Amino acid sequence: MKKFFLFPLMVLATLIALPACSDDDKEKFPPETPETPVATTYTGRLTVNGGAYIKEDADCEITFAESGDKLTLNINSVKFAEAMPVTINLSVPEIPCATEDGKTIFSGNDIVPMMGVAPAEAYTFSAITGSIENSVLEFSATLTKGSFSFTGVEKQQ
Amino acid sequence: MQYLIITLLTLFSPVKEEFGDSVTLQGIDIVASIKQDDDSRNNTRSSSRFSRTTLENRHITSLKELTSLAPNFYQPDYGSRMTSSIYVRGFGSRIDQPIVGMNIDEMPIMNKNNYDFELFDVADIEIIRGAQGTLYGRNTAGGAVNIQTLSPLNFQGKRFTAEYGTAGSMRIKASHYAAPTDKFGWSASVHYNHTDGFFTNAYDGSKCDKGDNFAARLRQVFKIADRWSIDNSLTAGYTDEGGYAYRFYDAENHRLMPVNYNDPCSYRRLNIADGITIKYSLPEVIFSSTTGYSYTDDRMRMDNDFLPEAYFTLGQYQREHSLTQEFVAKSKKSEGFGWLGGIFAFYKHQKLSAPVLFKEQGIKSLILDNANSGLQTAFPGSQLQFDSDEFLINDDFTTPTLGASLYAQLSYDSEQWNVTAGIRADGEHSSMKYDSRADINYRLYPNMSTFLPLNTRFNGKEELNTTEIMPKLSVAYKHGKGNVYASVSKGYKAGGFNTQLFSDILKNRMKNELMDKFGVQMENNAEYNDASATTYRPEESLHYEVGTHLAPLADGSLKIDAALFLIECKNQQLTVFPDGTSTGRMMSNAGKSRSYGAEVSASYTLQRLTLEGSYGYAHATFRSYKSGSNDYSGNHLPLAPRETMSANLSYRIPAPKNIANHLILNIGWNGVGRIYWDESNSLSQAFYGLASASISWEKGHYGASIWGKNLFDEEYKAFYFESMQHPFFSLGKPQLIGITLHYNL
Repeated sequence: MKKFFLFPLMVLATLIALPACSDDDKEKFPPETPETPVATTYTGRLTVNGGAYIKEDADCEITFAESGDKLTLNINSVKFAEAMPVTINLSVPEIPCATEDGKTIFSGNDIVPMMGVAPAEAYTFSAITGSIENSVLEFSATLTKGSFSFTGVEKQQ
Repeated sequence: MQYLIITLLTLFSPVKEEFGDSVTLQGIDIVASIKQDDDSRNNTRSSSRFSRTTLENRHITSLKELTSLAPNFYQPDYGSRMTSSIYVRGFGSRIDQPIVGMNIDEMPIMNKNNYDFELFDVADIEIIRGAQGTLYGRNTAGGAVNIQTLSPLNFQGKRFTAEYGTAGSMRIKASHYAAPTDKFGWSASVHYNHTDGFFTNAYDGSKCDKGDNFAARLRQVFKIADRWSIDNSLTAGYTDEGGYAYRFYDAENHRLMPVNYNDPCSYRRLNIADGITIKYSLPEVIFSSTTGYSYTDDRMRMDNDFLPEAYFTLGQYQREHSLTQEFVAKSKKSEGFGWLGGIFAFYKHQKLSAPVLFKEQGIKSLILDNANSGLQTAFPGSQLQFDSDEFLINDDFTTPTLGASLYAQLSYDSEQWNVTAGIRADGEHSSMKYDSRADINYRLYPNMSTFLPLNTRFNGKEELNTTEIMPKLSVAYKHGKGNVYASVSKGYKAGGFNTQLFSDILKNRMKNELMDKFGVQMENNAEYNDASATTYRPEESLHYEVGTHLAPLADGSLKIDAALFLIECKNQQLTVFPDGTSTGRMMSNAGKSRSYGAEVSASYTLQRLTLEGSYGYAHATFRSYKSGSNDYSGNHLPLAPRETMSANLSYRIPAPKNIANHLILNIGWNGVGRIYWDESNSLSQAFYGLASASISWEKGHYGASIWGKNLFDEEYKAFYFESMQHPFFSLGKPQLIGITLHYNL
């Protein structure tokens, strides 16, 4: 008789143990994937070199680092003069920022941007300041090759 | 003086038995193509016919040697046997679709790469000039070449031929024709020829155009119950040769440099074809069915820069199956109303690979130098690098094509008039699956420490559906000495896909993807990186012609054929650059051209002497052709001669019977020119002439001939093109002298 109850107790114990294990495992399945930082796109007027080139529907993207104290600014399809036959994408990484009462202010000096996969020292941002408030992005920057200023609103997806 | 007078009198005296008057191959019946009239002197077309006797006595071994013998017909000899461009009346085609169709024993040849082959045991060649769309359909906008080989029911015997000539040129032929009964005949013939080559590649001292060619033919002809005939012809050919004796032209010093390139050029081709024609003849009507199958496997390799430096090479490897079926019904009429109707269908399946290998110098000067000069602005002092001295662009294509046609022709023939009207409808569907790819590893040094992969892919499918209607109308007035006719007809060159542009497209895509990796985008570039840029629709031609076939002398010894023509071509297939640019080639149907001119051929036979001559003139110009920022309207169409000319004297030398059954002297001369080499007409080849001669002896079973071509070793340019903006020419073959021996049973 003792042996008779021993078997179902063992089965019951296994059944209790397995979900317990699986509860822990559930946290591991599916495998954890790091969250991709979400980029927010702002569309607006980009002025280059004091008006040498103006793009009314320029796109700029802001991506916050996980720590929240730095952001990356992507300026897409920009020219430095109207006659330029190519457009370039600049990515300005790790600009220090701070957020308070819903307003983010960012500012940095001597930042070398990336053009695609390579750093482009020729376009070093000697100074950049900007803010994000109420879905509006504004910034101005001085580069070794000129200057940018931008005002744009968050693009609706 | 007395001896001279006697000799001259002898030349023009009637033939006497003791001098021997037997000429081989007489009395061979040439059966005209079912689509053409047997009476070639009362037709309404411009055509030239060459019998086996003419081909053998003048030692003509390829269609290219009929250049200018048929007026306004030009097939230049350059490159390799893959190069089969034919130009008629100023129009032609260098790549893709041809403008002249070719039929061998009623079977159409569906691949232009097979147009250049060794002529052996050919009974008759007819070169028809002018649009033949109604009867022959696609790719006959310039005309048609109909070749008939010897039938064993018309010719029996064994023939062995051996030949040797300059440049180590050698030919060996053997054939057997038998007709065990009058209802069945069969034949087997084999042929081999070799050449050591004429042109030396200065890079390594080797002959770049040596080659070997082998061909065989089996034919069986059955006649059943006097109404049925079945004719099957199986041919196989194998070619393995060099070629592409292209020379760089130093335009600054006006010097043509020697052939000098480092990578091998070659062409290898295997072709197997079988055609079976079944005819059923009733008293009033004849029905015919021709089924054809052809398999082509060819491989071309080319040093595409033709320079001793390692720029880039090109390969083109093709396998094609084609199947054709044609049913024809034709009334047997000599007077009154006659008719002809037909159905034609075909299927072609082609697999093509065209790899382009960029080598060290090509990568540097064609890619890296340009890229690095542009990148200096953003990355001063940095250099784009690849981790390999070579990379490959792979292009693979699968192109099936299906077509069907219906056609009909009505004619009315009276004692003095003939009126013929016809119409044809062609429908065609083709598609191209393409797969282009290239893989390289790149870095920007010293900004990047490691190489990153760039894998460019471009694949998809394009389709093309076309329909064409081709009418024709001709009127002829017959008089006692011949006829006078007028005709109008339409033809077209089929549409398709220019696969040669895909490496351009992939290079552009690679460049754009690479620039994108560095955050740079070209403006206004994307639209010509599309496969639709390679597609072209049919090119159409309308031909107007007035002509005459005359035999003004009562004995028929003088024959004259003459014609005036006007050709209007629209939707011309051209390779162009987009407006205002000099990169990104694409196909276009935007061209219009016009050609007008005249042709005359004459032959005169006086006892032992036959004189033949021909002259053709074609003024062919672009009416509309814009490419990039260039406007070529008004310029001459390139690559086709403005004039062709030929003259030939054939004399049967009287000889005692114990010395010769026949002794024939042939002296010929043919010329072409002026040829403009490009659309801008900045370079041209002036008119030039080539002399030839032969003397043939035959006695009993034995025969021999001594012959020479380009006797005065005239140097002339056969072809021009540009690669990497460098101009190149190919010279024509130099003097060639040889001796041929044959033995007949």
